[in-house]
This record gives sequence, structure tokens and C-alpha cells, in this order.
Amino acid sequence: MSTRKDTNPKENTSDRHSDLLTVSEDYFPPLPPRSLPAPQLPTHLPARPPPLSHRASTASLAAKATTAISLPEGVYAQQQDGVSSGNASGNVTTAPSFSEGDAGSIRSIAPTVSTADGGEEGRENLEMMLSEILEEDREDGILAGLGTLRASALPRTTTEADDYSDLDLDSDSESVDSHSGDEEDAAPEEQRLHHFRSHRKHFFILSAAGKPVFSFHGNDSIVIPHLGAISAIISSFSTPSSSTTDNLQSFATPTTLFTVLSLPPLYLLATSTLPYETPYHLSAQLSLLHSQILSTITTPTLQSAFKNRFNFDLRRLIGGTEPILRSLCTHLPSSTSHLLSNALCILHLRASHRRIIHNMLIQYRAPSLLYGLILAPHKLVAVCRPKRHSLHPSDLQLLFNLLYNTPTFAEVGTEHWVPLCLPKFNDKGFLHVYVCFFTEGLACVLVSADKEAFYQLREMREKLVEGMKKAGLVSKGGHAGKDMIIKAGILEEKVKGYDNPVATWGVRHWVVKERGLVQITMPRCPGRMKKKRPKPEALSPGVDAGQITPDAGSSSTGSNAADNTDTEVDTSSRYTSIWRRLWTEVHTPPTSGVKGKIAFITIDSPSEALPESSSQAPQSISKQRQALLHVTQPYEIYAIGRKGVTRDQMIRAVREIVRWVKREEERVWVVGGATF
Amino acid sequence: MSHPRSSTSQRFAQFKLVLLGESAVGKSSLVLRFVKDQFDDYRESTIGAAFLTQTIALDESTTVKFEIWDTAGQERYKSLAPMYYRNANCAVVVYDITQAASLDKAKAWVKELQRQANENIVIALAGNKLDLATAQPSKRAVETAEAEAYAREAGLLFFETSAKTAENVQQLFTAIARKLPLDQQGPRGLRQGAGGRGVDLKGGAAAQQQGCNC
Ligand SMILES: Nc1nc2c(ncn2[C@@H]2O[C@H](COP(=O)(O)OP(=O)(O)O)[C@@H](O)[C@H]2O)c(=O)[nH]1
Ligand SMILES: [Mg+2]
Repeated sequence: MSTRKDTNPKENTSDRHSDLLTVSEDYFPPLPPRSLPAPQLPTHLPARPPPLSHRASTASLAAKATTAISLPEGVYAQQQDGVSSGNASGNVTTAPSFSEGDAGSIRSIAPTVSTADGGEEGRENLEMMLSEILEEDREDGILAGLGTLRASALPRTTTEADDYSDLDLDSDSESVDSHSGDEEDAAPEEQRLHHFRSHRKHFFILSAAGKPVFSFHGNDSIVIPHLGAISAIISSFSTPSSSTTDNLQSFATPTTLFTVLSLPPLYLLATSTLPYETPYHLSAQLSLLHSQILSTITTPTLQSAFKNRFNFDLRRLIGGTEPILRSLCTHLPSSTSHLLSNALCILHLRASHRRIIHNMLIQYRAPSLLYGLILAPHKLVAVCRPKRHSLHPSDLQLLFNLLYNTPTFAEVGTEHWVPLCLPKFNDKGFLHVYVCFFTEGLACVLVSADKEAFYQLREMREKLVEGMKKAGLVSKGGHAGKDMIIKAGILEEKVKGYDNPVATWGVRHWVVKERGLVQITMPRCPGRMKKKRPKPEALSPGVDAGQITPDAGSSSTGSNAADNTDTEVDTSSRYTSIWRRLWTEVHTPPTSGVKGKIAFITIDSPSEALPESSSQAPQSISKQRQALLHVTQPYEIYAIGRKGVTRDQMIRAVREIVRWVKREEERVWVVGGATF
Repeated sequence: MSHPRSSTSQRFAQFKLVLLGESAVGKSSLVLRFVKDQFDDYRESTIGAAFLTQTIALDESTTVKFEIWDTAGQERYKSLAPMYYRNANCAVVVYDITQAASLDKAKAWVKELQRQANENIVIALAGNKLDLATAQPSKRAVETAEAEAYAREAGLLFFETSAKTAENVQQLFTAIARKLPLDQQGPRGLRQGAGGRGVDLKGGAAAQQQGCNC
């Protein structure tokens, strides 16, 4: 069995390696210490409008929420930060699965590690990979533009910001405007500028040299004139700080909050005019954007790109991933999962059904499999993993964004093989991810450290899907959509799971977060919208007369997954703003309600109508609506009542919800998953 | 994975095809046109590589199944490319006829393939976005004759295509299938383990062994 490659020693070596390979556990970052720290909540978030110059410390803001709790036996709760990734680096170069000559591998892109058998070579390979790009290193005049900027060109607040309320759920306002580049490109300069400034949120990523890496809105001609101002903001913060972790700074004008995250060689800036977004929230969003960049190129590549090339244009390396960054910008501010520490949303599924899938994941496990995931839109169905390793919530957030918020992967029948760095798992190297949507909305995601594993993972997927069909968990039918859903899951979710109890408890919508597992469960969003925003008159005025919207509860058993995705994202953003407000209440002393444990807010202004209220008669909404956050040892429970439901009733309802969640424990959480 | 026809009069062959070329020249669009007969004006960049299959009937008795690797073409993935073309029986190297530089990139790919890939690899050069030049001749940046001459010299199949209008897309893939060695074993040194899967010619059992250099 000779190939022409035999003349190429590198290739030959790699072939030999991959034949022998199994994943070595040593390669992976060690687990964090087994501990259950009390969640440390930021204690000094500014109330809005906050003082003009607020310097938030990362110690309290940047790090906590995504990894508030670690529970090593849980699947997702593991805390792995830069520290543990660092520990892993010594092992990275010895990972057997990464062949020489593979600049994309963990081994070779770890130039910072100079062990005898890999460091130097790694550096060379990396240079090789980047050479074409790095050689050019052109100066494209962007810096030249910087001088002309005025501070007044700040990406300032929108004109309507003052009267904007994020609970004005009938307007477009809450959902963060998605990117509209084409529009902007076509319009005259003046108009484009106006449009650019009218956005409620901006995200910018810059290099230390002030070169643009990414901007949520606007194209170069719009953004570049703002770069000076942005750089000025950033540099005003980048005085050497007392502690290296103090890399987050924030300040606010009366209408706009600015938050900067300095992670050299990158600087990230977010601005927001959304009420109740705090530096904490913006920093969590920025930190995920940063992770997305690492996920595309890894930390060593990022570092080396700028090493000795201060002016490097990173866009050349992250090319093609702008839509992914943009979709993060669009969706994160309204994502309940992201808001709640990137908690993983679990598909409600009968325990025996989940067990079947878990067993199959183990049974059909490909030799080089690291993680195996079955996903429904924005939800986890099942997972298998090595005993000693779990997945980090923020890595999963990136994965879900990639799969469900961009159209790149969702096409049924196309398989994908993607080098991907999961930064919280190991920011120094790529894993290789097999993605296949085997039916609409349902994805099989198989992760390996072996870049040659595609065919074995593909075979595993074939067996898995076949197995799930045989077990009746996935429709055998050939027609797309409708019943091509994990039937058991969807049926339970709709019939037994959430909607009926919710209707009787007087609660409009709720979310429960299992703090230890960093998982959330919630009913389908009530009052969900059709894809197109309904016109006011299309909404039935009687919808809130004590019954759940028919849409959310009954019928349409087989509504297709893609539809659900769109609509749930859409409606949930309205609720997310209320959850965020509650979150801020609880995390901001002086707090209302019972200290740190429970917070109530009243939603009663006409503009604070909920989705089901018709905007044609806002004044007729006389009764107030209560929303509450209750923090207990295992849970955070967020709930919004129906109109007229009192606080006492809400507390009783929350008890019911907790009771229900406990009863359904096996169905709403995934504890551990399948391990091998 | 393959389920060849059992009838001895039916020939079934399976080939690995890889698409290479600069980002945004229309590789994914060509595949989408070929596999699903669709076109999407706002297609997002490929991330990593996509794997698709398409089966075509060459004639009444011959069926050819393509296993297609649609690569991303972005620079950061450059080092992964050998993984996709290593066992390929055929390659489509794509450039955009409205972007002169994309032909240079294509030539570089052809060079790399001729040096590194299978000896017998069938390479087709596709000048895509023909519709743009048809509608507005001034948009053309690469003359047909120029590319054709290069293709002849380098021993490549050559087509100008439009994924948008479907012009020459089917023809491109059919021409490749016809040029592939249906009656002899094609690729060398393929192993199951590596996912290699060359011509799998049923009905001519001898062919199975013939070309193997093991
Ligand atoms: N007019 C025209 N546009 C095309 C054609 N093929 C692709 N495109 C467009 O070119 C862009 C890039 O196409 P894509 O298939 O993603 O390129 P790839 O990066 O090489 O895979 C997309 O906007 C396509 O719609 C074509 O034949 N004609
Ligand atoms: Mg593509």
C-alpha cells in the first residue's frame, strides 16, 4: 500500500500516526479543582444612568457569570479558565494525534511551547501557515485616517434612546438590529452615517495599532472615521492597571454605556443604549466575541500574527467568519441562555429516550471521538464525553451560535468538517468537528482531535441516526419538516411538559436555571410570533384572558424546527430584557425585595406591554404585571406573571414551578451525559 | 456506504472530487447547482469544508457517484487542503472570470495538485460567474482564450461556468466523469481507513485489483 506520498516523509509520518491514534487524556486540560464556590456576584454595578466614569473591575464583572459554579461531575459546569488551559500546554505538543506538517493541529500551532520534540517545529509550521499572509503585511492606510477624527464622532447614542423602553415589546426596539450592510452600502454617505449612529448597540474589535478587525455595523468608510474616537476611548483606559486581570473598563453617558475589554493584542468595545444592560452584560458579550475569534484562529496564532507585525490586518485571518461574529452581536443581547451564564438549554425528553440515545452514543462511538452531541434547535438532546472532561458553557454557546444562528451548517444532507478551537477547552489548538443536520433542526456533532477522523465520524453518525430511527426517536419518513423531529421530546414538551402547568399557575413565562449544572429549562415562549412580525390587528385582544395563547400550547405538534427557532428567538428577546432587569435588581445593591434572594419588578407602564397585548389599545391595560427572580441554592427562577396576578400568587406559582422541575428532574436536566 | 448495482450490465463508480480556488469565486455555488440545482445570491462563506454527494448517470449502464469536498479557500485553512485532495480522483479548480487575481490563485492550486495529489488526478479548470460577463462584457477580467490556452498547456479540462444560470455546470461534471478511468482502477494507494474510496467498479471484479499498487 504505497502512495506517492511515500516520497514525502512528512506525509508518511502523519499516516503512521493517525493509524495508531487514540485520544490521549494527557492531552487535555486537567479538570479544575473540585469545588463549589458560592457564586460571587458583582456588588457594585452602576444603576442606570451610571456615574460618568465607572471603572469596573474584572474581578467582579468579567469572569463570574459564565463560570459561576463548577460541578465536576456535571457535564457543563466545569470551570476552565486561562489558567487550566495554560497547564495543558505542556501536554499539547506530545499529543499523538497531531501530525507534523499540519499547521492546523494543536501540536504545531503551539509555538509558545518549546519542548524538545515539538516547539521549534511548531513554530516553523505556524510560520508556514501564516507566511503568505504575513509576508504581505501591507499598510493600507487605515492608520492615516485616524488623525482626522474628532471625539464628537463617538458612536453615540441614538436620538430615540431617551424615550425608549426595552419593555416596549410591541416595537422593534428590543431585538438588536441585525446587520444591514447592503442597505448601508447603497445609501448616500450622510444617510449611512445617520443609520450607523442610530443603532442601539455597537461592537468593535480593534488591534492594538488601531486597525479595525470587526465592526457590527457599518462598512469601512463609515467605521474608519470613528476609529480614532474608539482608540481614544480605549487608550484612555489602558493605563497600566494594578492587576493584570483588570482588563475591563466601563463608563456611561446619560444615554449610552461604553464597555472596553482589553485582551491584547485585541481591544473590544461595546456600546449600548439598552436599559438594564450593565458593564457586566456587555463584557460577557465581548468576551464571547473574543472567544469566537480564538475559536477561528487559536491564541498562539493570534499572538504570533501580531508579534513583530504591529500593523497586521487580522481580517485576513478571520475572513469569512464575520457573519458568525455578527450573529453573536445580534443574538447574544437577547439570548436567555447567554444572559444566564451561557447556561445550556436542555431539550425536555423522557429519561428512557435520552438513555437510549446516550447508550447509542457509547455503542457506536468512533475510536477517535472526543465529544458527541445530539442537538435540537438551541437545545441539547444528548451528549457523550470522556469521563474526565466536560464542555464549557461558553464553548457550547459558540457552537450553538455557529449551528443555529448562521445558515452555514443547517442544510440537511450536507456534512461539514470544521477545524474549530474551543477556547475554554484549549485555546491553543484546533479540534475537528463533524457536523451533520440529519433532519431539519437536529444536528449530530462529533468532535475529535484527529483531523483525519471524518470518515469514521461519518460512519458513527450513520449508525446513530439509523439507531434513533429504529428506536422511533426520529421519524423514518422521507419528507422534511413536520414530523422529522425527535418526536418524543417535542411531544412531551408541548403536552405534558410546560404549557399546561404554566397556564394554571398564573405565570406568563418562566425560566429555571440549575446553577450547579449551568443548565436552563423553560417552556416554549408564549405569544410566539409568526415569522413576520404580526400587525397589531392580527393579534387577538382576548389572548391574555387567562389562557395561554393557542399557538404556544396546542395543535401544531409538528411545527417545524426552523420555524420554532426563528420565532422563539424573536419572542424570547422580549422576555430576556425582563430577565436582565431582574438580574440587575438582584445583583445591584441596594436591591428591592428580599435581600439577594428575591427580586420583584412591576411592569405596568403602557409601553411595557407584553407580546400578547395589542398596541392598538395600550391604555386599556390597567392591571399590573409582576416579574420575579428567586435565587435559591440549586436554582434561579425567573417568572413573569399574567396581568393582575399578585406577588403572593407569584411566589406560590414559583413554588409550583420548582416542584414541577424537581418532579421532571430527569427530563429537564442532563446530569453527566454518557461517559466513556 | 456504497450500494452498487448488482446487475452485471450496470457499472457503478465512485469518485472523490475536491473543489479548490480562492474564496468567493463560487465553489460552493457550483456544488449547490450541481447537487441541488439551486443558487443562492447571499451564500455565506464555507467554514472548514463541506462534504456532499451526487450521483449522475453517464449513460444507460453507467452510474457515477461523486463524493465532493467543497473546501473553504480561506488562507487560514490552506494547510488543511492536502487532507482533501490527497485521495481525490478529480479536482475542480475554480476562478472568477471577473477577478484576474483569482486565476493566479487557481494556477497555484493546479501546480500544487500536480505536484502533491494523485498522479492520475483529473483536473478541471472552471472560470465561474460567466453570467456577469454575458450581461456586461466589460466585467470580464480573464479572456476565455487566455484561460483556455493555459488549460490546454497544463492538461486540464476547461469550462466557463455560471452557477447562477447553470450554464455549463452539468457539462463540467459530466466531462470529468467521462475522463475518469471507468474501466481501469483509478486512484492509487487508497485505503479504507483513510477514507479513500476510489473507483468501485462492480461488474468488473478484476478492475478492483488491477490498479492497486500495494
Ligand atoms: N453572478 C454570479 N454570482 C455567483 C456565481 N457563483 C457564485 N456567485 C456568488 O459569489 C459569491 C461567492 O460564492 P460562493 O459559492 O460562496 O464562493 P466560494 O467561496 O468559492 O464557495 C456568492 O455571493 C454567490 O452568490 C455565478 O455563477 N454568478
Ligand atoms: Mg464556499
